[in-house]
Amino acid sequence: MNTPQIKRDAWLSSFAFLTVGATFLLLALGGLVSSKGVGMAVPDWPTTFGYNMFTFPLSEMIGGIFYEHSHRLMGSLVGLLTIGLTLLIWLREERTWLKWLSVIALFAVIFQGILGGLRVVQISTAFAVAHGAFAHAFFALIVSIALFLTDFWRRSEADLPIEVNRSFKTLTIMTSVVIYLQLMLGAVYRHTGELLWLHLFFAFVVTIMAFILTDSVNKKINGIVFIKRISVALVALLVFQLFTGMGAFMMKLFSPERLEAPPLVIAMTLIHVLTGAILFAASTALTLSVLRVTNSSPGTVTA
Amino acid sequence: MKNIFMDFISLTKPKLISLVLMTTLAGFYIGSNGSLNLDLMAITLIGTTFVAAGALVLNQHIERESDGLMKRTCNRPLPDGRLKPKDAMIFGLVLSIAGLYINFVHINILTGILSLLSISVYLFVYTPMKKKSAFCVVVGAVPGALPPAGGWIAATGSFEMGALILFAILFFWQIPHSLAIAWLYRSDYERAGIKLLPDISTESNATGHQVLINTMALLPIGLMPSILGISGQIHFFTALGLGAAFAIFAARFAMNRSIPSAKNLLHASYLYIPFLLGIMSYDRITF
Repeated sequence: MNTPQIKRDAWLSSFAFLTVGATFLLLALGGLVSSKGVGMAVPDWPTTFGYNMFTFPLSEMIGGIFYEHSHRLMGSLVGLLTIGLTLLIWLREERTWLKWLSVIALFAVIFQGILGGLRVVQISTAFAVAHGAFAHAFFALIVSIALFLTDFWRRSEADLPIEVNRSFKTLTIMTSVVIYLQLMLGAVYRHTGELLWLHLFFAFVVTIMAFILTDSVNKKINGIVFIKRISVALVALLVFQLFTGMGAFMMKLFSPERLEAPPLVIAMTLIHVLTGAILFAASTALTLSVLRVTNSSPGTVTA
Repeated sequence: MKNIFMDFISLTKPKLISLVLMTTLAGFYIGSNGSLNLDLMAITLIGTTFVAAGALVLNQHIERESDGLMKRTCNRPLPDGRLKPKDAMIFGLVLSIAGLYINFVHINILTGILSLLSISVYLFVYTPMKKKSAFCVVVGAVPGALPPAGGWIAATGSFEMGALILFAILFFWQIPHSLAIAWLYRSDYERAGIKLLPDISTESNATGHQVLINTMALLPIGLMPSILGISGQIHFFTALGLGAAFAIFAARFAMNRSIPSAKNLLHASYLYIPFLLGIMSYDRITF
């Protein structure tokens, strides 16, 4: 294969994973804000009670303001890390498509910030849903960039592609698409209390698809440990997610007045939301990795 | 004489019975909801001991030939010829009938039915299935998961959500636990023609996958008692930590399939249940 060797850049890869970690923390804080119902604790944006976001006194970060303002500060940090990642990729990377992908990530983080701001300024549930759903997409995008910088991705350049049929590739892509739709439905239910039946139906669809996909990966891509591991992790996470969803649902069903304290409700829904994010990121990584190492028509090289 | 007595005792597998009693006791205590009936608790433990011991003795009677083919079990009293099969069968039947009588007559009908179901599934479904299909591990998890539910039902006289959750915890816990043992002694089991592992080839890792999937299901199920208001926050966060730790060991086994990772998983499973049930008992909410 006459493809140029991509140089290893451990430092850049570490920076990308740092951004992944920070984005995950941002998701957790965002989830806390929603679970505690304090999305409107700070009524203005981009200022915080008239202050510049970064000069807001720590002593006034109490109650719901603590969570909402921490979420904003963490969002700023993720924004800065994304800027850093983009700059580093432009300076140190050779792959042009990856350079432009980092620019897309930069625009995505700005867009996500604006969505969050509009949710506050417009006092809009629709923007809250969009902000919640897009958070998962941004997380998966950052995870994807980190994946492109791994040794696995670089080394795969030298391997011969594995021949698979087109339906397998379609299944891989569609599983990620359906998981994302499921996350969107989850966001709708979380913020509006609507469409629970559709969320439950899609849980069923996602489960079937993920199990078929894992089985197919085991049969068709037997020799690549990284891909096999992600596919098994995908199903394991899905099973976990189904039961956390059931737990969150049961909380609403069974005498909430008997619950000792709201922290349990918050913890359970937060775990469910964060697992959803990891599930979609894992599914995206699996899809991309499968596309990377496979080929559905002989003689064609995957990039 | 003393040796024969000890052989009869060893037929009842005292270590396994102590685990059964521990889970039954936890189920009884949590189900009692603050009003513990000590007499009923003692009768429940006696009845459970007899039922479990009877089932275990009868199981060894049925499996005496295959036990003789395995290193791990060839020194047991029946394959070693220290006890006669007929004596063991009578011993097992007496224990089982006595246990069922106690549970039906002195506890309540539901507990009796549960005991009968447990013995029946264990001896007539799980035991013969061991030589035919690896699905026996799932079937075997049913009687293994019934004791805490039985304890709850003995205390309350009714089948409530709490009993179901305790059953689910033990059920999902048992599958990785049993698979870890089956994997460690796989050559022994193969020699005896017992199919416990779902792997269809040496390359297949179905065992690892099933271990991981069931442990991941167990993690949120372990949180359910708090969600249903049976226990509180301490249980919730402890169960979260325990479940996550157990899942990490399961993931390591699923990824490596090595003897150390299987042993670690087994040890983790031994720690998980006593800690989880202990915390649940400590942090139970009475209402």
